[in-house]
Amino acid sequence: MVTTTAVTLGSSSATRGTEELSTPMLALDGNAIGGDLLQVFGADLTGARCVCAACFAAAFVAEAAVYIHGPGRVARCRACGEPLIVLVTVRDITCVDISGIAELHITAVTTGLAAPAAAARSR
Amino acid sequence: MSPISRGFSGRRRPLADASRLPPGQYVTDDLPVLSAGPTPHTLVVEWGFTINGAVDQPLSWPWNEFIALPAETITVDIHCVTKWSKLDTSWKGVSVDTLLASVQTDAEYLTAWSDGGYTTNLALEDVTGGRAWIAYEYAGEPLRPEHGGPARLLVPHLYFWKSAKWVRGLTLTRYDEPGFWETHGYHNRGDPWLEQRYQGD
Repeated sequence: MVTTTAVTLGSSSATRGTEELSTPMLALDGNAIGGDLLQVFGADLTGARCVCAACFAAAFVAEAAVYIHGPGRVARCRACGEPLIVLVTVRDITCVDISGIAELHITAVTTGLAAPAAAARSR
Repeated sequence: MSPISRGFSGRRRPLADASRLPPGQYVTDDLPVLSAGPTPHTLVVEWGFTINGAVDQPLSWPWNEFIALPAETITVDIHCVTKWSKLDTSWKGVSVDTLLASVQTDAEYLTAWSDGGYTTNLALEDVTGGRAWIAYEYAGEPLRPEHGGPARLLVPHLYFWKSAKWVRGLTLTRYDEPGFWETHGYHNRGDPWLEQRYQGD
């Protein structure tokens, strides 16, 4: 049985222009931060579905557009371009801003954790 | 064979004048492309530059009026918080002093904002007195989109994340409001000579 836990993580107030954006030439996908997320959350979140706090599009974390060639790493919504996750490593401590995610659906199957553990870790 | 390796030196090479390199930096010959998001391709006919916020009267210039403003050619060293520095980079642009000359303000800070949603905050004194420009040429060529074109902020005495790519305006503020990277743990001012990389440095 697959148990799904939906966690409300806040909303984003970020704004962006309406200009046409190019094909994101520097973008990787969400797997690029899978290791970081595993380290921070203790679970593989690449198979978790997330809902963008800006446009409410749902996608797997692995589907995000990820930019790693800056001071930090930014995972953006493929639908609207707003940041979902920002990771910054400051003095060996990785800080994760997930205010761009409205909901994160963590399942026992995607994380490899038993369902109660997945639920506990997401709070 | 010795079990001790001296390690790889990579791109780091000796510097003729080490006094030009802030602590923890190395010299690179290319101009790396760093971005927190996709590259906007704003056409110059759609581009304009705005000064607003705590000013007596907001100002804006379309592209053709902006490039008709008195411009300066600047050769400066630039320093990225990801530890590369590039020496003797050449830019052409309009001094922020020129842009602010015709506004009255009691603001002490500003937020630079860009196509794509990027923001960064600066003290007004860090962008005045001939220390900041809105640059639209690099090495004698129009500034390419991946390097921030049509125009980017150039504040060479601070880490390069302050030199916002794709800049479209400056909003003057009475209170300091952290921008994108400043909100996420980077230093509020970012002086490379004081190695102000992160909050608390």
